[in-house]
Amino acid sequence: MNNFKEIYQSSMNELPKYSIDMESILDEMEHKKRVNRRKKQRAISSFLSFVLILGCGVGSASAANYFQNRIEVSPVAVLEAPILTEEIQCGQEEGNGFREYASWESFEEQETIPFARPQIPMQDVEELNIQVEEYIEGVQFYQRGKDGKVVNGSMKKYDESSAHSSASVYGDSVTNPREYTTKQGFTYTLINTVGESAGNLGIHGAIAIGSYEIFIDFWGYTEEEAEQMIESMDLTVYKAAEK
Amino acid sequence: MTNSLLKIENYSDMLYKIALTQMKNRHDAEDIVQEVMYQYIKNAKSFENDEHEKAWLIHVTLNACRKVWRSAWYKHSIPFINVSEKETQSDLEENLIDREEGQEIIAAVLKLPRKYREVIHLFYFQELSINEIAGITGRKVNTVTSQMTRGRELLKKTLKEDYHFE
Repeated sequence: MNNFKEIYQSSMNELPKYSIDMESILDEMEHKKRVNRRKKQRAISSFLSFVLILGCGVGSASAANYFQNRIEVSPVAVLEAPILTEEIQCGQEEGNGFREYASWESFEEQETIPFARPQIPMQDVEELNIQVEEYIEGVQFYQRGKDGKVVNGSMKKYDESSAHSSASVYGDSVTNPREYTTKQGFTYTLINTVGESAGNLGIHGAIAIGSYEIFIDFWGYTEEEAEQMIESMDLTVYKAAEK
Repeated sequence: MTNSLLKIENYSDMLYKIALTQMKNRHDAEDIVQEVMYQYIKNAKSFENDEHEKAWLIHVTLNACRKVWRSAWYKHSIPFINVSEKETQSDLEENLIDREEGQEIIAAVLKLPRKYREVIHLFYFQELSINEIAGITGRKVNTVTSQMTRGRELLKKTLKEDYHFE
Protein backbone atom coordinates (compact mmCIF):
# COMPACT_ATOMS: atom_id res chain seq x y z
CA MET A 1 0.00 0.00 0.00
CA ASN A 2 1.33 3.47 -0.88
CA ASN A 3 2.27 5.93 1.77
CA PHE A 4 0.16 9.05 1.31
CA LYS A 5 2.46 11.28 3.33
CA GLU A 6 5.60 10.33 1.44
CA ILE A 7 4.07 10.76 -1.99
CA TYR A 8 2.32 14.00 -1.08
CA GLN A 9 5.51 15.46 0.34
CA SER A 10 7.63 14.46 -2.61
CA SER A 11 5.04 15.78 -5.05
CA MET A 12 4.82 19.11 -3.26
CA ASN A 13 8.60 19.34 -3.12
CA GLU A 14 8.77 18.80 -6.86
CA LEU A 15 6.83 21.97 -7.44
CA PRO A 16 9.03 24.92 -8.39
CA LYS A 17 10.59 26.47 -5.30
CA TYR A 18 9.29 29.94 -4.60
CA SER A 19 12.04 32.46 -4.25
CA ILE A 20 11.25 35.80 -2.72
CA ASP A 21 12.82 39.00 -3.98
CA MET A 22 13.92 40.69 -0.76
CA GLU A 23 14.87 43.98 -2.34
CA SER A 24 11.48 44.32 -3.94
CA ILE A 25 9.65 43.20 -0.81
CA LEU A 26 11.28 45.87 1.34
CA ASP A 27 11.08 48.74 -1.09
CA GLU A 28 8.10 50.88 -0.08
CA MET A 29 7.37 52.14 -3.55
CA GLU A 30 7.63 48.66 -4.91
CA HIS A 31 5.40 47.47 -2.14
CA LYS A 32 2.66 49.94 -3.05
CA LYS A 33 3.02 49.14 -6.73
CA ARG A 34 2.91 45.47 -5.97
CA VAL A 35 -0.22 45.77 -3.88
CA ASN A 36 -2.00 47.61 -6.65
CA ARG A 37 -0.76 45.25 -9.31
CA ARG A 38 -1.73 42.21 -7.28
CA LYS A 39 -5.20 43.57 -6.78
CA LYS A 40 -5.72 43.47 -10.50
CA GLN A 41 -3.94 40.17 -10.98
CA ARG A 42 -5.95 38.59 -8.23
CA ALA A 43 -9.09 39.76 -9.81
CA ILE A 44 -8.29 38.39 -13.24
CA SER A 45 -6.91 35.10 -12.09
CA SER A 46 -9.60 33.87 -9.86
CA PHE A 47 -12.56 31.70 -10.31
CA LEU A 48 -13.68 32.57 -13.76
CA SER A 49 -15.41 29.26 -14.04
CA PHE A 50 -18.86 30.56 -14.39
CA VAL A 51 -19.88 34.10 -14.94
CA LEU A 52 -23.12 35.88 -14.54
CA ILE A 53 -23.44 39.07 -16.43
CA LEU A 54 -25.96 41.45 -15.19
CA GLY A 55 -27.57 43.75 -17.63
CA CYS A 56 -28.36 46.59 -15.33
CA GLY A 57 -31.03 49.19 -15.52
CA VAL A 58 -32.41 51.48 -12.88
CA GLY A 59 -34.20 49.39 -10.31
CA SER A 60 -33.48 46.05 -11.83
CA ALA A 61 -30.81 43.61 -12.76
CA SER A 62 -31.24 40.76 -15.13
CA ALA A 63 -29.11 37.80 -15.98
CA ALA A 64 -28.13 38.26 -19.57
CA ASN A 65 -25.68 35.56 -20.48
CA TYR A 66 -23.78 32.69 -19.05
CA PHE A 67 -20.48 31.53 -20.40
CA GLN A 68 -18.17 28.84 -19.25
CA ASN A 69 -14.58 29.72 -18.50
CA ARG A 70 -14.36 33.18 -19.95
CA ILE A 71 -16.32 36.25 -20.69
CA GLU A 72 -15.85 39.27 -22.84
CA VAL A 73 -17.63 42.42 -22.07
CA SER A 74 -16.90 46.10 -22.19
CA PRO A 75 -14.67 46.57 -19.18
CA VAL A 76 -16.15 49.78 -17.94
CA ALA A 77 -16.94 48.51 -14.51
CA VAL A 78 -14.12 46.96 -12.62
CA LEU A 79 -14.56 46.06 -9.01
CA GLU A 80 -11.29 45.93 -7.21
CA ALA A 81 -10.63 43.65 -4.33
CA PRO A 82 -9.63 45.32 -1.07
CA ILE A 83 -5.98 46.00 -0.51
CA LEU A 84 -4.46 42.87 0.86
CA THR A 85 -2.05 44.62 3.18
CA GLU A 86 -4.91 45.84 5.27
CA GLU A 87 -6.58 42.48 5.14
CA ILE A 88 -3.56 40.75 6.57
CA GLN A 89 -3.41 43.32 9.36
CA CYS A 90 -1.18 42.01 12.04
CA GLY A 91 -2.76 44.47 14.40
CA GLN A 92 -0.58 47.36 13.46
CA GLU A 93 -1.20 50.37 11.30
CA GLU A 94 -4.60 51.49 10.16
CA GLY A 95 -5.87 53.40 7.28
CA ASN A 96 -4.86 53.50 3.58
CA GLY A 97 -7.54 51.07 2.43
CA PHE A 98 -10.67 50.63 4.43
CA ARG A 99 -12.24 50.93 7.84
CA GLU A 100 -13.32 47.79 9.62
CA TYR A 101 -16.10 47.15 12.12
CA ALA A 102 -16.97 44.10 14.16
CA SER A 103 -20.55 45.10 14.92
CA TRP A 104 -23.42 46.61 12.99
CA GLU A 105 -23.95 49.09 15.83
CA SER A 106 -20.42 50.50 15.49
CA PHE A 107 -20.77 50.62 11.74
CA GLU A 108 -24.04 52.54 11.95
CA GLU A 109 -22.69 54.89 14.61
CA GLN A 110 -19.56 55.78 12.68
CA GLU A 111 -20.61 55.72 9.04
CA THR A 112 -22.94 57.86 7.02
CA ILE A 113 -22.54 55.93 3.78
CA PRO A 114 -25.88 54.81 2.30
CA PHE A 115 -26.22 51.12 2.98
CA ALA A 116 -29.23 48.84 3.04
CA ARG A 117 -28.46 46.52 5.93
CA PRO A 118 -30.24 43.17 5.87
CA GLN A 119 -31.86 41.91 9.04
CA ILE A 120 -30.16 38.59 9.51
CA PRO A 121 -31.90 36.00 11.70
CA MET A 122 -28.81 34.61 13.36
CA GLN A 123 -28.93 33.52 16.98
CA ASP A 124 -25.24 33.27 17.72
CA VAL A 125 -22.89 35.28 15.57
CA GLU A 126 -19.45 33.73 15.48
CA GLU A 127 -17.88 36.24 13.17
CA LEU A 128 -18.87 39.59 11.78
CA ASN A 129 -16.66 41.80 9.70
CA ILE A 130 -17.81 44.96 7.97
CA GLN A 131 -15.45 46.90 5.74
CA VAL A 132 -15.99 50.37 4.36
CA GLU A 133 -13.79 51.42 1.50
CA GLU A 134 -12.02 54.72 2.08
CA TYR A 135 -11.45 55.83 -1.47
CA ILE A 136 -14.63 54.68 -3.13
CA GLU A 137 -18.19 54.39 -1.93
CA GLY A 138 -18.38 50.76 -1.00
CA VAL A 139 -19.20 48.42 1.84
CA GLN A 140 -18.77 44.71 2.22
CA PHE A 141 -19.65 42.45 5.08
CA TYR A 142 -19.29 38.85 6.19
CA GLN A 143 -21.42 37.36 8.96
CA ARG A 144 -21.20 33.78 10.09
CA GLY A 145 -23.24 32.05 12.76
CA LYS A 146 -22.13 29.29 15.07
CA ASP A 147 -24.41 26.99 13.10
CA GLY A 148 -22.23 27.59 10.04
CA LYS A 149 -24.75 29.73 8.19
CA VAL A 150 -23.22 32.67 6.36
CA VAL A 151 -24.50 35.88 4.88
CA ASN A 152 -22.10 38.11 3.06
CA GLY A 153 -22.63 40.96 0.71
CA SER A 154 -21.31 44.08 -0.85
CA MET A 155 -22.37 47.43 -2.16
CA LYS A 156 -20.41 49.60 -4.51
CA LYS A 157 -21.17 52.88 -6.19
CA TYR A 158 -19.84 53.35 -9.66
CA ASP A 159 -19.27 56.66 -11.25
CA GLU A 160 -21.87 57.62 -13.80
CA SER A 161 -19.93 56.38 -16.79
CA SER A 162 -19.64 52.86 -15.50
CA ALA A 163 -22.96 52.24 -13.91
CA HIS A 164 -24.45 50.07 -16.58
CA SER A 165 -22.06 47.24 -17.00
CA SER A 166 -21.41 44.77 -14.30
CA ALA A 167 -20.75 41.15 -13.72
CA SER A 168 -20.46 38.61 -11.03
CA VAL A 169 -18.07 35.72 -10.84
CA TYR A 170 -18.67 32.57 -8.93
CA GLY A 171 -16.26 29.74 -8.49
CA ASP A 172 -18.82 27.04 -8.31
CA SER A 173 -21.62 25.79 -10.50
CA VAL A 174 -24.26 28.36 -11.22
CA THR A 175 -27.79 27.07 -11.45
CA ASN A 176 -31.37 28.17 -11.43
CA PRO A 177 -31.21 31.81 -12.48
CA ARG A 178 -34.42 33.57 -11.58
CA GLU A 179 -35.83 36.90 -10.51
CA TYR A 180 -37.34 38.05 -7.28
CA THR A 181 -39.25 41.31 -6.96
CA THR A 182 -39.45 42.83 -3.50
CA LYS A 183 -42.48 44.50 -2.01
CA GLN A 184 -40.71 47.80 -2.63
CA GLY A 185 -40.68 46.91 -6.33
CA PHE A 186 -36.99 46.13 -6.76
CA THR A 187 -36.14 43.12 -8.87
CA TYR A 188 -33.16 41.00 -7.91
CA THR A 189 -31.49 38.39 -10.01
CA LEU A 190 -31.07 35.28 -7.93
CA ILE A 191 -28.94 32.25 -8.68
CA ASN A 192 -27.84 29.16 -6.81
CA THR A 193 -24.37 27.74 -6.49
CA VAL A 194 -23.18 24.55 -4.94
CA GLY A 195 -20.35 25.19 -2.53
CA GLU A 196 -17.31 23.18 -1.63
CA SER A 197 -19.10 21.08 0.93
CA ALA A 198 -21.54 18.62 -0.49
CA GLY A 199 -25.04 19.93 -0.26
CA ASN A 200 -23.87 23.39 0.67
CA LEU A 201 -26.26 25.34 -1.48
CA GLY A 202 -25.70 29.05 -1.90
CA ILE A 203 -28.31 31.59 -2.86
CA HIS A 204 -26.92 34.72 -4.44
CA GLY A 205 -28.74 37.90 -5.19
CA ALA A 206 -27.66 40.86 -7.28
CA ILE A 207 -29.27 44.13 -8.14
CA ALA A 208 -28.27 47.48 -9.56
CA ILE A 209 -29.98 50.65 -8.49
CA GLY A 210 -28.80 53.57 -10.54
CA SER A 211 -25.06 53.65 -10.06
CA TYR A 212 -25.14 51.34 -7.04
CA GLU A 213 -24.57 47.63 -7.25
CA ILE A 214 -25.56 45.33 -4.47
CA PHE A 215 -24.64 41.68 -4.07
CA ILE A 216 -25.74 39.38 -1.29
CA ASP A 217 -24.91 35.74 -0.70
CA PHE A 218 -26.67 33.30 1.62
CA TRP A 219 -25.20 29.99 2.68
CA GLY A 220 -27.27 27.50 4.63
CA TYR A 221 -30.54 29.39 4.27
CA THR A 222 -33.76 28.40 2.59
CA GLU A 223 -35.17 30.37 -0.30
CA GLU A 224 -37.85 31.75 1.98
CA GLU A 225 -35.32 32.91 4.57
CA ALA A 226 -33.18 34.50 1.89
CA GLU A 227 -36.20 36.32 0.50
CA GLN A 228 -37.08 37.60 3.97
CA MET A 229 -33.59 39.03 4.37
CA ILE A 230 -33.77 40.59 0.93
CA GLU A 231 -37.11 42.14 1.86
CA SER A 232 -35.53 43.60 5.00
CA MET A 233 -33.08 45.65 2.95
CA ASP A 234 -34.42 49.13 2.37
CA LEU A 235 -33.11 49.81 -1.11
CA THR A 236 -34.76 53.21 -1.27
CA VAL A 237 -31.64 54.58 0.47
CA TYR A 238 -29.78 54.19 -2.81
CA LYS A 239 -32.46 55.96 -4.79
CA ALA A 240 -32.41 58.77 -2.24
CA ALA A 241 -28.62 58.95 -2.41
CA GLU A 242 -28.71 59.34 -6.19
CA LYS A 243 -30.73 62.52 -5.98
CA MET B 1 23.65 33.68 2.36
CA THR B 2 23.20 34.74 5.97
CA ASN B 3 21.15 32.65 8.36
CA SER B 4 18.33 35.15 8.49
CA LEU B 5 18.11 35.38 4.70
CA LEU B 6 18.13 31.62 4.42
CA LYS B 7 15.37 31.47 7.00
CA ILE B 8 13.28 33.95 5.04
CA GLU B 9 13.84 31.97 1.85
CA ASN B 10 12.70 28.77 3.54
CA TYR B 11 9.73 30.40 5.19
CA SER B 12 8.70 32.00 1.91
CA ASP B 13 8.59 28.69 0.11
CA MET B 14 6.75 27.03 2.98
CA LEU B 15 4.15 29.82 3.10
CA TYR B 16 3.87 29.87 -0.67
CA LYS B 17 2.94 26.19 -0.75
CA ILE B 18 0.39 26.70 1.98
CA ALA B 19 -1.12 29.67 0.15
CA LEU B 20 -1.01 27.83 -3.16
CA THR B 21 -2.95 24.87 -1.82
CA GLN B 22 -5.47 27.24 -0.30
CA MET B 23 -5.87 29.69 -3.15
CA LYS B 24 -5.06 27.30 -6.02
CA ASN B 25 -3.47 30.03 -8.06
CA ARG B 26 -0.01 31.49 -8.23
CA HIS B 27 -0.96 35.16 -8.27
CA ASP B 28 -2.88 35.04 -5.03
CA ALA B 29 -0.32 32.81 -3.37
CA GLU B 30 2.54 35.14 -4.29
CA ASP B 31 0.52 38.16 -3.29
CA ILE B 32 -0.21 36.70 0.12
CA VAL B 33 3.33 35.51 0.80
CA GLN B 34 4.90 38.79 -0.24
CA GLU B 35 2.62 40.78 2.01
CA VAL B 36 3.06 38.39 4.93
CA MET B 37 6.84 38.60 4.56
CA TYR B 38 6.68 42.37 4.24
CA GLN B 39 4.79 42.55 7.55
CA TYR B 40 7.11 40.00 9.12
CA ILE B 41 10.25 41.89 8.21
CA LYS B 42 8.90 45.39 8.83
CA ASN B 43 7.41 44.56 12.21
CA ALA B 44 10.45 42.71 13.49
CA LYS B 45 8.14 40.93 15.88
CA SER B 46 9.91 39.02 18.61
CA PHE B 47 9.21 35.32 18.97
CA GLU B 48 9.80 32.88 21.77
CA ASN B 49 11.48 30.38 19.49
CA ASP B 50 11.53 29.11 15.92
CA GLU B 51 8.36 27.07 16.38
CA HIS B 52 6.51 30.14 17.62
CA GLU B 53 7.78 32.14 14.66
CA LYS B 54 6.76 29.47 12.18
CA ALA B 55 3.33 29.09 13.79
CA TRP B 56 2.77 32.86 13.63
CA LEU B 57 3.70 32.99 9.95
CA ILE B 58 1.40 30.09 9.08
CA HIS B 59 -1.40 31.63 11.12
CA VAL B 60 -1.08 35.00 9.38
CA THR B 61 -0.87 33.34 5.97
CA LEU B 62 -3.98 31.24 6.55
CA ASN B 63 -5.83 34.29 7.81
CA ALA B 64 -4.85 36.19 4.70
CA CYS B 65 -6.10 33.33 2.53
CA ARG B 66 -9.39 33.21 4.41
CA LYS B 67 -9.92 36.92 4.16
CA VAL B 68 -9.37 36.90 0.44
CA TRP B 69 -11.78 34.00 0.11
CA ARG B 70 -14.39 35.68 2.23
CA SER B 71 -14.26 38.94 0.42
CA ALA B 72 -17.55 39.47 -1.30
CA TRP B 73 -15.75 41.66 -3.76
CA TYR B 74 -13.26 38.95 -4.43
CA LYS B 75 -16.09 36.71 -5.55
CA HIS B 76 -17.66 39.48 -7.50
CA SER B 77 -14.59 41.01 -8.99
CA ILE B 78 -14.78 41.40 -12.70
CA PRO B 79 -11.89 42.54 -14.62
CA PHE B 80 -12.20 41.60 -18.20
CA ILE B 81 -8.88 42.92 -19.31
CA ASN B 82 -6.35 40.43 -20.62
CA VAL B 83 -8.21 37.48 -19.32
CA SER B 84 -6.98 34.34 -20.97
CA GLU B 85 -8.17 30.83 -20.48
CA LYS B 86 -4.74 29.88 -19.23
CA GLU B 87 -5.01 32.36 -16.42
CA THR B 88 -8.27 30.86 -15.31
CA GLN B 89 -6.77 27.44 -14.70
CA SER B 90 -5.47 26.39 -11.37
CA ASP B 91 -1.75 27.01 -11.61
CA LEU B 92 -1.04 24.22 -9.27
CA GLU B 93 -3.04 21.75 -11.30
CA GLU B 94 -1.46 23.11 -14.45
CA ASN B 95 2.02 22.47 -13.06
CA LEU B 96 1.10 18.88 -12.51
CA ILE B 97 -0.36 18.09 -15.88
CA ASP B 98 2.74 16.29 -17.13
CA ARG B 99 3.63 14.75 -13.84
CA GLU B 100 2.12 11.34 -13.45
CA GLU B 101 3.37 10.58 -10.01
CA GLY B 102 1.79 12.72 -7.41
CA GLN B 103 -0.63 14.31 -9.83
CA GLU B 104 -3.52 12.27 -8.61
CA ILE B 105 -2.68 12.82 -4.98
CA ILE B 106 -2.32 16.60 -5.20
CA ALA B 107 -5.39 16.88 -7.40
CA ALA B 108 -7.33 14.95 -4.75
CA VAL B 109 -6.11 17.27 -2.00
CA LEU B 110 -7.03 20.32 -4.05
CA LYS B 111 -10.52 19.00 -4.51
CA LEU B 112 -11.10 18.81 -0.79
CA PRO B 113 -13.18 21.52 0.84
CA ARG B 114 -10.88 24.24 2.12
CA LYS B 115 -11.05 23.37 5.82
CA TYR B 116 -10.05 19.78 5.14
CA ARG B 117 -7.42 20.81 2.61
CA GLU B 118 -5.89 23.09 5.21
CA VAL B 119 -5.50 20.46 7.94
CA ILE B 120 -4.40 17.74 5.52
CA HIS B 121 -1.66 19.95 4.10
CA LEU B 122 -0.44 21.13 7.51
CA PHE B 123 -0.43 17.60 8.87
CA TYR B 124 1.10 15.72 5.97
CA PHE B 125 3.34 18.31 4.39
CA GLN B 126 4.28 20.58 7.27
CA GLU B 127 4.19 17.65 9.67
CA LEU B 128 2.42 19.65 12.33
CA SER B 129 0.65 17.77 15.08
CA ILE B 130 -3.10 17.98 15.62
CA ASN B 131 -2.45 20.16 18.66
CA GLU B 132 -0.22 22.49 16.69
CA ILE B 133 -2.79 22.77 13.91
CA ALA B 134 -5.47 23.52 16.48
CA GLY B 135 -3.27 26.25 17.97
CA ILE B 136 -2.49 27.82 14.61
CA THR B 137 -6.00 27.71 13.23
CA GLY B 138 -7.70 28.61 16.50
CA ARG B 139 -9.89 25.52 16.35
CA LYS B 140 -10.53 22.93 19.00
CA VAL B 141 -8.43 19.78 18.92
CA ASN B 142 -11.60 17.73 18.46
CA THR B 143 -12.61 19.86 15.50
CA VAL B 144 -9.23 19.43 13.83
CA THR B 145 -9.33 15.70 14.52
CA SER B 146 -12.72 15.30 12.92
CA GLN B 147 -11.68 17.48 9.97
CA MET B 148 -8.63 15.28 9.52
CA THR B 149 -10.77 12.14 9.63
CA ARG B 150 -13.27 13.56 7.19
CA GLY B 151 -10.50 14.79 4.91
CA ARG B 152 -8.92 11.34 4.83
CA GLU B 153 -12.26 9.70 4.10
CA LEU B 154 -12.81 12.01 1.16
CA LEU B 155 -9.30 11.36 -0.11
CA LYS B 156 -9.82 7.61 0.09
CA LYS B 157 -12.96 7.95 -1.96
CA THR B 158 -11.24 10.10 -4.58
CA LEU B 159 -7.94 8.28 -4.93
CA LYS B 160 -7.84 5.26 -7.21
CA GLU B 161 -4.85 3.67 -5.48
CA ASP B 162 -4.85 2.49 -1.90
CA TYR B 163 -2.87 4.62 0.49
CA HIS B 164 -2.18 4.37 4.14
CA PHE B 165 -2.50 7.67 5.92
CA GLU B 166 -0.70 7.23 9.20
